[in-house]
Amino acid sequence: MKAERYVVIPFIVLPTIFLVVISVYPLAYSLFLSLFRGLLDQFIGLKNYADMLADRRFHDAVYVTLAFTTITVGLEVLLGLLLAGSLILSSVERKSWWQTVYIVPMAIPPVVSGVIWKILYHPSFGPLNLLALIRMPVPDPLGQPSLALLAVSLINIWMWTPFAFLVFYSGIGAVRQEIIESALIDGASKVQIFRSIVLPSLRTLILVVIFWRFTANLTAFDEIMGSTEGGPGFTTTTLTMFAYWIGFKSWDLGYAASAAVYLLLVVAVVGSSLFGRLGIVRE
Amino acid sequence: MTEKENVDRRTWLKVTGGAVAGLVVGGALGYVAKPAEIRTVTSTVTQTVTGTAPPPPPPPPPAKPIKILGFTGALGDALVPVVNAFQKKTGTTIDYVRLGYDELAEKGASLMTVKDTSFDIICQDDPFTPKFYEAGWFEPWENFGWKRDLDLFDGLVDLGTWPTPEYMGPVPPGAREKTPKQYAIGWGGGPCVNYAVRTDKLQELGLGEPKTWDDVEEIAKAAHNPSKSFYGWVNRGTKGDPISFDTFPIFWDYGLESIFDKTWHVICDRPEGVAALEKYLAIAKYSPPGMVNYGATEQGLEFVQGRVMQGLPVPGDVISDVEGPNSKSAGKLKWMLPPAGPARRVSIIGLFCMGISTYSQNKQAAWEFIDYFLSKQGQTVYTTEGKTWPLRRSMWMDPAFNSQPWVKPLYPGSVEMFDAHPQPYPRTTLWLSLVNIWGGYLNLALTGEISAREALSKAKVELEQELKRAGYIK
Repeated sequence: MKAERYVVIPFIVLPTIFLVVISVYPLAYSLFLSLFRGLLDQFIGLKNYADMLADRRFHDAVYVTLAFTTITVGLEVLLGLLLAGSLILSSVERKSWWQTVYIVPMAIPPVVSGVIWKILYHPSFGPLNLLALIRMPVPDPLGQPSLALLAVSLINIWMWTPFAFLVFYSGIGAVRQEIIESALIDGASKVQIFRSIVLPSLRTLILVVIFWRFTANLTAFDEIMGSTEGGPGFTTTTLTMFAYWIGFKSWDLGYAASAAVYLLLVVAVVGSSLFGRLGIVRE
Repeated sequence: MTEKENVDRRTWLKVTGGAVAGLVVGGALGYVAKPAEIRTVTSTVTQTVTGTAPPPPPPPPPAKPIKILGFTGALGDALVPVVNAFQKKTGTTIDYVRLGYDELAEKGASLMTVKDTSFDIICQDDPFTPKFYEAGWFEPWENFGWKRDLDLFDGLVDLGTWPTPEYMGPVPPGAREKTPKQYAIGWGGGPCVNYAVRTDKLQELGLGEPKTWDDVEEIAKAAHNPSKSFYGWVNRGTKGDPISFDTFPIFWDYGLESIFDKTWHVICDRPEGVAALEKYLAIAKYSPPGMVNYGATEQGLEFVQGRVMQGLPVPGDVISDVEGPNSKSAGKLKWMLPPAGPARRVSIIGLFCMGISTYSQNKQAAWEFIDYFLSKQGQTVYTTEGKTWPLRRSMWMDPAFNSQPWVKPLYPGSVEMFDAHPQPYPRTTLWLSLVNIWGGYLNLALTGEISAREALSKAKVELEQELKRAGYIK
């Protein structure tokens, strides 16, 4: 019995070691690093955190990050739901073909997506230039400060709506068919079925997608780097880009680490709130 | 499993703690036992075992290979013939490892941080080099008997000197009292921002070559014809480094010595700075749509497609395409030192630099390679087989060389540029953080969102904040 008792130990110990090495150690090292100027050049305590709060670039980056995340997550969830609902409830044939088409953008590396959209948005070399043929003004979505954030958000939405679609499509597929059929026999419209049967059954999945996309989009980087590099001006400079510039261009890794810690706090607060709603942290 | 059979918390903590401690101790032992020490031990054991009979004298050891960390692309390719020639000449093997721009910068600094001994020669773009000089990551060349060679352009040599000469701008507080030493040399890239203008169009318009930035504006206005997709001006407008690099000469030409004074107080919002930015924005009005996000590729493409009259291309980035067989501008461009402002006429220099790692175990061989590369013989291989520009003035002046197709467009413009003492980016370890602020506001002004004066005032506030944080100013 005693030998059997120890059989379980490797199953607990190995994942714990893995977690410590992969997750806890880097986190602890980041916290340690954030107490120094530069690359462990000089110990300065919590000064980086205080400086960061007074740094206007940090304020701007927080605003851009939150605006970007709100726009993208909101639209990705909404469009994902609409696409999944319309495909599953429609009588269109070859649904698997449509599924494949919908998820193609997700398979393209984000930085490549950024470059592709940079060309698509280009007022001279991209398709927008066709507007000139009908004597309409050609917009420059990535070059106008008022449009750039929206344009970059659209790239992220294009890339990640397929993820929301995929999750919701699977979720809707799990709804018992008899319930839907009963509702149809009772004369419910497809919109009513979607609103009253499908949507409530997806509550948990919606929260999971919101959580996943929220944490991922708070740290979005590649598509922004590939399209605007944070410009024009600072209108698309997110917290991750801000930390990248400080950390890997000017080698002030301490200051960059403190930005990362603030970002982690935001993710932790939002994450625990969403997990609370999901009932995952409920004892 | 019953409740009794479950592993209790104490046992779990014991085993997990033991495993983690084992890992830490194992890791620490691995760290302490450096590879060099392990090799020494192995060698001693071998000698003891075979020590009964006198061993035959060992053959002379082969020359230790040299490992170079360089960059990818055509600019990095140009060094390959020199590497091959040196290997053939000396029998020394060279491992030339090449990385992309960002990866090279990150790898270079992270290798030095962990005191890596595997690379002997490190190449880095010049804005990153103050960090290497200041941190002592490069070996001073004086240790190998370096003497300044007057045939090498001053700008290339001075880019590798630390602290830099006064004409290259303010010196960081910690470096002011140091004795200048040679740590590297500028070689691959740029070499600078050159001004290029379509001479065929100038003739059509009845205009002469510009001498001042006012002339440039006049030419841009006269040539600009968006209905025919022909534009008066182009430069790299992307925020950060691209727009900063391309516009610095205008600020200098208008009398701003730098965006900082000698004690690092920000002076960019002085009247001469405002006048310079206003002039640039007046010229940029005649640029193609979307220039706000233009990098070297888009700028080069505008010339290749024959859609622009003039601009500030960096020759190293684009000349092979702009003057290539598929370019509509090929053979029609005059490449020259950028025009003058009210104060002076100067260009900006930006290059990859080559230095010897402090942690190299093979420094003498590394120096011999650099010495060969800089020699007349090495430079001949570099420029003729690598199809690039030479570091030596005498080679530029040689008619047999400067008539070669890959240098012809740049002669005599590049020599004039070097003679006018081009300036680099401000020489500070902070620059790559500061350029994001500076280039961000220039880019915002280019969008028309804010005025020149507003951009410079806002940039000043944030630049000062960053400089205060780093202890440069109080």
